[in-house]
Amino acid sequence: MKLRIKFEKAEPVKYISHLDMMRAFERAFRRAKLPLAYSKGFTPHPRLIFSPALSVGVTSSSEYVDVEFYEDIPVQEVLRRLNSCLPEGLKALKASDFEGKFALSEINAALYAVSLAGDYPKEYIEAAVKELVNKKEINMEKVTKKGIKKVNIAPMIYNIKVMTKTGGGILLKMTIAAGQRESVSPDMIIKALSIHLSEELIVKHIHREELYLIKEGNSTPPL
Amino acid sequence: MEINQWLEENLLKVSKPTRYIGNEYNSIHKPVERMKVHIALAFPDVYEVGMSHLGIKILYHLLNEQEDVYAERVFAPWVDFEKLMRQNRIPLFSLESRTPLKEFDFLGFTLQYEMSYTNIINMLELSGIPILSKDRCDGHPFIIAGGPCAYNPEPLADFIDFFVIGEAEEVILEIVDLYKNLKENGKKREKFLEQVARIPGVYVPSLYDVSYNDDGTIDKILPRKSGIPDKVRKRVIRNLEEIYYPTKFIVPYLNIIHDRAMLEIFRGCTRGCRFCQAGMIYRPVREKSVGRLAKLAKDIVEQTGYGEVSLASLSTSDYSSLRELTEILTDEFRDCHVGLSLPSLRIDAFSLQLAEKVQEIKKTGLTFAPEAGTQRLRDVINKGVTEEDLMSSVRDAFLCGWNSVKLYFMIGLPTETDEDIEGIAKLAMEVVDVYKSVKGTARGLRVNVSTSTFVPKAFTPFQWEPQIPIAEIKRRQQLLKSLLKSKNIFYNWHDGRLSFLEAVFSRGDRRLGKVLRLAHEKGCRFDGWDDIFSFDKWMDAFKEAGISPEFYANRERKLDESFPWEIIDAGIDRAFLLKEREKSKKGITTPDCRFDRCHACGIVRLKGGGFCEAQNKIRKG
Repeated sequence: MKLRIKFEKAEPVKYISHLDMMRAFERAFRRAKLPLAYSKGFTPHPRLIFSPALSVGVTSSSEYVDVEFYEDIPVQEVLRRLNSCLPEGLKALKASDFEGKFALSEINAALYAVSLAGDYPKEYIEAAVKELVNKKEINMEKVTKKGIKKVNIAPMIYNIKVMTKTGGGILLKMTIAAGQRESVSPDMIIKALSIHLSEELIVKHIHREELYLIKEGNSTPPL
Repeated sequence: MEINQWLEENLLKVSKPTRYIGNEYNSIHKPVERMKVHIALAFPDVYEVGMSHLGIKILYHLLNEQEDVYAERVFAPWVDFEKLMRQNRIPLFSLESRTPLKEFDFLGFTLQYEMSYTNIINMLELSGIPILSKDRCDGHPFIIAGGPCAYNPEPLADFIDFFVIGEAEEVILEIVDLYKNLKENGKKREKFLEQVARIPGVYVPSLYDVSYNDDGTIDKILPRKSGIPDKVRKRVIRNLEEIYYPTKFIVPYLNIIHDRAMLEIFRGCTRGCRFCQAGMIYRPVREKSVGRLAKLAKDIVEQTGYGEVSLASLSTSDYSSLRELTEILTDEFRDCHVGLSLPSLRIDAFSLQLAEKVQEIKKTGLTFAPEAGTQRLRDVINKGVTEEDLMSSVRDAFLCGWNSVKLYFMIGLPTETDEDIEGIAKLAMEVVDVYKSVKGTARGLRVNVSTSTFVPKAFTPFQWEPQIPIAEIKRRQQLLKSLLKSKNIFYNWHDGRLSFLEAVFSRGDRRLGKVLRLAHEKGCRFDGWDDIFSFDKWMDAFKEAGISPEFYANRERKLDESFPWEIIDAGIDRAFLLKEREKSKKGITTPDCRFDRCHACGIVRLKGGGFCEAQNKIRKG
């Protein structure tokens, strides 16, 4: 039985790494006595495939994991049992068969909500965003394992909306590249915006709202 | 809350923020204001090391079983986090409720190795608690310490209010009860210390005076008041079968050192290796039944979800029903893919079937510990293992499909010569030859040879022995390195300067408190971490204190010398240790008393005797 589970990674677990979270899930499945299927071979691994890693410190309401069970179990039963065994901050939201859906490795975009510290006029940020998005080239330095690399992030920005939060403060909703092929972090976008403004914008909080496969102009979420 | 806000703003600036957030699965949360006793269980190293320690886990869950007691955890903050704490004047706080440590009733430190002592002082300083016991007053927490290094508590006498000697499951509750009682009656700090000193197993160093001889050795350690014991006898759990053992272990997010369920199968060891302190101080041997262990293992896996269960003891293969236990556990866990790891296996008892049984589920590494390179030296240290034992076990392992083994040795053992070092190299080469004879080639083979330096320990037959000087440690390491020529052999060794400092503190006295204080002032902490350890700072501290480290590390003790640790009664008679020492000089071995006769180590004296297995066997005839 193949299942795609959508889950949230909330405040209490936002500092745990992707690897730590994968381990936490494997253990929760075992506590929940859900019949995880394992790979064959010398060191068997549970068949769990996760959506692209979330940066440490970022919360999300749309993470995904594909899981295989060696027995059929009603979906509601899976959610109930899993949720009673997950640590605080990880919560399964819904699930369904992933047969026929695109693979999580195909995800190529993410929608983030980034709230800024400080009190800026909406128009000021909006104008800067517009100028930034219209640029053909935004060269930024990216730290990789091999050292510092120059990357043009302009093609990785799909859409940025500037909003005012209830109670004040600026909220940026940005759809940007994510996943295996190419990706950019919301922090990098804010950094680019800061450079453009010659003023350091401080990020208060980042939340991932959804993941997508954008193909031929259509955005489809994994579930 | 201020600390919460500060964490939110700073956690992304440090490495591994998960070390400081707590709230792991099975961690315990209680309303602090409604608790009568608030205890911080402190481990003087980082989270990943401290969370791998079984003792602190047992005490955490045991104490929290008490309704009006709240036990929390605290670990040494890593240097980057410490720097931020100091910059922002954030006091050290507990992991669960984030309460500043100075607001606790007790801080209980685990003393697992000597090189964590500066971390204790640093943690006290970060908490804003006076580092010296004499400077603390009513309202400050009591600073307690226990664990293997507490068997020589003296180097920490200036800093620790009282030590708990031996197994703590019973005595810790007695201490908590006394505290509740005196707190309700408005009794003061001094009164509590005097009362707690009367609980068996508790040592209050400030209630004892030490006098010295002209040559710098100890004359006497005497209690200052009547009613305070002359010797503090270690506590031992009589019935291990029925003693509390947790099943809802905390499941860390971080990949800690021992990231698995720990199932304690027995305590104590009577093999009698003469260098081994654990083999002396944890006597007598007490096993848990297969039935209880099978139930515990099942419950632990159900409640933690761990994918691996590790059998914990000093010598796994000495568990009398090991085959039965491993069969039950492998059957139980086959479907849910829970692996079984068997650390501390002895080579002579390691059987092919057992290896295969374990391998059926998960492959784990194999470590052999011949300890010394020649039969002569193995007889001196009473390590009853022969070269044939090693080679036949290694052959079995290679036939089973293993291609990587670790061989562990000590250098600098009493009477060691270059011939013994050459013996290590010869053994390693023979392992390579065995592999070649099994597989026809050496391809794919990895033999890891690892050496540490012998550190003479209190309450062992070698407690009178000198450690070899640092220069000699280096020479012998280099000699071995030059002899290990095969490209299938990889050699790593322990920094000799660290072993030297360990030798100082493992048999030191309370005059060393000054050195610890000075070393801390100079910035020493995390001394067990290669990238932070500064030997020069330590040497400066010794110089400034006017104390010679060689006096402690490299001096052969006279047979009638009084030792600082003899304020403790570990249950092992000095006469037995002396006899073992003499036998070692002659190369005479002493067989395990469980399979031989009683060698009168002295442990039967404790608690009226009757719980020593070897003795019982004699009685039953």
